Amino acid sequence: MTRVTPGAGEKTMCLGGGWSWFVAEKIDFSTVSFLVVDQNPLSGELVRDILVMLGTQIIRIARTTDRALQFLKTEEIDVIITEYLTEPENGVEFVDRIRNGIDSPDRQIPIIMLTANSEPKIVAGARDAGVSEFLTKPFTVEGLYRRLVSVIARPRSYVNSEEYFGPDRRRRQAPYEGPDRRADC
Amino acid sequence: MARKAQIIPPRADLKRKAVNLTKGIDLTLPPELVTKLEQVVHRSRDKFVVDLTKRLTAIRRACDAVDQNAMAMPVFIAEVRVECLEIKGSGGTIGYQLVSEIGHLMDVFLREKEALSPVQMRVFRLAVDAVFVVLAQKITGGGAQLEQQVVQSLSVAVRKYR
Repeated sequence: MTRVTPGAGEKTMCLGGGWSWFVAEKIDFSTVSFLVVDQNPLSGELVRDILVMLGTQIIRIARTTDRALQFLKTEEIDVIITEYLTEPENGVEFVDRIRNGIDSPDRQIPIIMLTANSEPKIVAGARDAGVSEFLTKPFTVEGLYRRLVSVIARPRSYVNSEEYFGPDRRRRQAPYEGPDRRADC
Repeated sequence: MARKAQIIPPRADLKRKAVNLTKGIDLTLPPELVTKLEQVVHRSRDKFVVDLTKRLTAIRRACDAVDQNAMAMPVFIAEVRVECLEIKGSGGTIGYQLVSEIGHLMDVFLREKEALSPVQMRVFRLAVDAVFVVLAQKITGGGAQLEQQVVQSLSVAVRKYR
C-alpha cells in the first residue's frame, strides 16, 4: 500500500469527517547542537558547512574520540555524527563507550555513523553497538538530511537488555507470534 | 532465566525543542535547498581534489617503499587501506563517482590481506593510476563508455587477483 503524505497547506479529510489543513512539521536546526567526529579535517568541514546551511549554530568538530568525549562532558551536544575511521578508538568502540561506558555523559544521545567503510561486519558492529543511523560515504545531502530528520523528529525507543543498550533495532512492526521477551516500560 | 529487555520510550526533549510547525526546514528537503546544499558541497571540490592527489601520491610512495623493502607489508596494507577508504568516501561526495568506484575496488582488494604478491601490487598500482587520470582529466559523474569499461576491467582484475 502506498502512503501519500499531503504537502504543507493541503486540505485533508479528518477521520471523524470534515476537513482540516495539513501543516507540515519543520526542524529548527538553530536549536540543535552537533558534534562531528572525523580525523579527516576536510570531511569534518564539509559536514559542518552543510549543517551551517541548514541553520545550525553550534557545531563542534573533534579529530579524535578523546577530544569528542571532552566536548560531550563539557558542552551540551544533541547529536553526534561520527566516522568509523577514528583514533584512538574506532567509531564502533566510540559508540559502545557512549552507550555502555560508566563514564558516558549521555547514553541516549542520537549517533549517526557517516563512514566510507561499508564492510558488512562494520555495519553490523555499528548497529549492535547502538548507532542510531548509518550512512555510507560517498553521501548525498538528501541522504544525510534523512538521517538527521530520523534522529531529531522520529526518535526510536531504546532497548535495555543484558546484551544490548541502544535504539530499537526493529524498524518494522511485523506480526510476531513467538514468546514475549520484552519487559513493560 | 535471562532478564527481560526493557523498552525505554523515545526521549522527547530534542524533538520538543527542534520540531515545530512554523520555523525551520520541512522534513522533506525542498528542491531549492537541495541545490544550495549541493553548491556548498561543490564549493569544497577543489580542496578535496588537492587532498585526494596528496593521498594518491602518498600511496605511490608507500608502494615504492614496500617494493624496496623499506616498509613492512602489514603496515603498508593498514595505512594504504585507510587512504583508499578516504578516497572512496570523498570522491563521489564531490561529484567524482568514478574515484569512489575505483577507491571501493582498491579497498575490497586490500580487505583482510596481510601481503600482496608482485602481480597484486601491479594491479593495485593500476588502480591508483586510474584515479590519478580521473582527477587529472576532471572526469566527474560516472564517466563515458570508455571510463566505465576501465572500471569494469579493474573490477574483473580485482576479482581475479584478489
